[in-house]
Amino acid sequence: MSLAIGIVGCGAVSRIYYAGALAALAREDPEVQVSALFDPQESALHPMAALFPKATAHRTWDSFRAATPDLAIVASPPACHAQQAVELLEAGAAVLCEKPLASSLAEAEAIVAAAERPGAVLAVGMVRRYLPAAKAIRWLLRSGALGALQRIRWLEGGRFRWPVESLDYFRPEVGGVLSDIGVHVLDLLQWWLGPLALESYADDRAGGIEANCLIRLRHGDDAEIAVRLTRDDDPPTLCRIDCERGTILWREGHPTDIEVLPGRMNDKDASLLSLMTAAQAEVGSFERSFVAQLQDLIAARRRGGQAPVTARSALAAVALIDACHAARRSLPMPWLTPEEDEAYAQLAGSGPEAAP
Amino acid sequence: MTKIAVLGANGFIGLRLVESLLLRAVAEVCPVVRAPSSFAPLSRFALEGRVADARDLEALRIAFRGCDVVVHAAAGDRSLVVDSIEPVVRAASDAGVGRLVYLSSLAVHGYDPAPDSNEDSPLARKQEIDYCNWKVDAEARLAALHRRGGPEMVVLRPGIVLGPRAQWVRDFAAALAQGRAYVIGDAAGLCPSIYVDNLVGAIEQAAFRAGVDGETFIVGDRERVTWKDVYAPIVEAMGRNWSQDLHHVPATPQPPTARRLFEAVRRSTFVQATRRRLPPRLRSAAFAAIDRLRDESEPLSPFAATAAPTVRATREMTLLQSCRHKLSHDKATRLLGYSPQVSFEEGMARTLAWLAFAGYLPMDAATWPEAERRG
Repeated sequence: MSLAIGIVGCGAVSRIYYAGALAALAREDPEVQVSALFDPQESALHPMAALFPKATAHRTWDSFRAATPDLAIVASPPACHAQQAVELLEAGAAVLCEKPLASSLAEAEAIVAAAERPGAVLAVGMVRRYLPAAKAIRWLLRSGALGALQRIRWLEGGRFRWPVESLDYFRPEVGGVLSDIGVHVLDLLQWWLGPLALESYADDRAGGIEANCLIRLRHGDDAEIAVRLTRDDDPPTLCRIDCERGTILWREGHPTDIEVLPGRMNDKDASLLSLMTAAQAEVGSFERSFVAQLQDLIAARRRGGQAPVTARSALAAVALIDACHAARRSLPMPWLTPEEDEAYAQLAGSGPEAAP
Repeated sequence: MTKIAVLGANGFIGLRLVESLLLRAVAEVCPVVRAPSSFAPLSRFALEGRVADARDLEALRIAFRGCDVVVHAAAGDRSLVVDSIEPVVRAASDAGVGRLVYLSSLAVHGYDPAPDSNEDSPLARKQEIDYCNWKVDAEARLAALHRRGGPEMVVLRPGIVLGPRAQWVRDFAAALAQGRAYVIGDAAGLCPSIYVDNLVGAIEQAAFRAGVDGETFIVGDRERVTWKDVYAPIVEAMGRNWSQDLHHVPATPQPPTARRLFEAVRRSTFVQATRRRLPPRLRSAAFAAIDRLRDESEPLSPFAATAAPTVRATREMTLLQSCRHKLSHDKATRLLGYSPQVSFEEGMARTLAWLAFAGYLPMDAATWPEAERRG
């Protein structure tokens, strides 16, 4: 059955990841074709039109929507997601909505409501759930092979190198490192562990958007989780998960490799660990994960079922981000002089998401 | 209020300069970055950023519009260091900028300068390390342009700039964590240090002080320190042992004459220009063979780019850690009113605090910042 795909937003994520994934899909499944592209910016639309010459390029939203693709990838700025995703779902298209699902919890809930109507199919681009390493960690934590979770320390990020077109990308409404990387981290944590409670949140905004932040969470009564995100330096990134009987190390967000430092394990646990090790042998890459999530959505569209990453399951990360904004404090910067620190405190309070 | 454009605002000196000028309300700051993505660490402030390559005259003219002072803090390869000078000066002149502050380097005197070197010492063009020659060329171009008019110019020559995000600190910490960090012998050579806030103070003086047009100033910390003084606190903060966890390597000798001649030819303006003019395929084939002959163990200058430390000392680090003399900043004290406000000890304490903030210290020994301090 042929499947016409439309791409909404032809910026960097479409060009760098979805174009390659769609080309790979088309090779595997000739029935899948990119038929329509939309971007109001000619400079973004043109390179994608060159990659997909059979697709019709649309500069206006109305003309794109009238083209009614079977499946649409919404990769526009987050502030546009709610309106575009809802309209596409209402028009009967299956939708893959890039992360973050929306720029506010209210908008995300509007998408969830539209996605839960009968016949609607929507997936959220939480692509890291498709990484074999992330799947293996979920399996390990849920199997109980390492015993109860004690704590997680997660340092994630790096110097910002995403090829943005202009400084408009850094507008407050687009958000900083919390919305950008944080949504992936918070999504994975809750996918692994279930609902988490926010203990505190701090970032370095001083009138603009955050480049660094620290999130403290709690799982159950005992396990504490600290997540440190950055986009201004290249520290050695690591997710360290300490459990009662062992520790999981996930370095540099590697697609397949994790390290497990077992403590006391019984035979049953050890066999689970060997199963997990076999899972790590799965071929995986960040790019391949984009193909996999599209394949899942196409299958859901064809069989009339739900996509694995539903809007509701992705809502939890958006809700936590909203909670972070509400609980915001400023992140201490210990190299500032007392005079500078005082000014920073004043500017930090004037940020767009200042604590109430 | 004076409006200062900071070219290279995303570099570690530029970032701290913007942060400090803004927070102390010393000037209105206009950060200029080469690519939009570079603005990320500056975006935490409500600043009007501008995008311009330091070699793009037209973009620089727009970027400098309305500014009274330009601070040229952009770093990069030879093309950026040398070829940015003329466009920056011309753009500043066209935009009506009153003064240009150029961040040169103590490297113009070589990494082990003669004991009596000062701002009046003649500069050698044929130094062993490329970066030193680039900075000599850049200063020469600047002086030639200054003689023709244009904005006032002040040149600063800092040594090894330390502080938050400094590559000397960050790269060493990362290498230490991976077991790749090394020092020459026991790191007893002098480090011509300047804590970044002291450099910011010098830049401020250079921007505002009257009667210093056309002057060049060596600037540094007050203290005489060794490389061990810089590295040992980092080793300790990371829970490592100076004797056991560091590679104490011998100095790498100067390469033989034939090798130096080959490298000089390979890096010559003529060969590099020829390389650029060849069709891509021919260029790849011809120069791949030549490049295979070079000594790949010598990484790019850590001034110009992030170096990849190895357990074999690079020639550049060998020279840096062989420094025997601290050059005086008396001229800056007299004419510029320069006075380093942050002691070396305090500077290192703040630098270590940044290492903890940024996540370089092991998680087990984590001193992650406390989240709650104020609302």
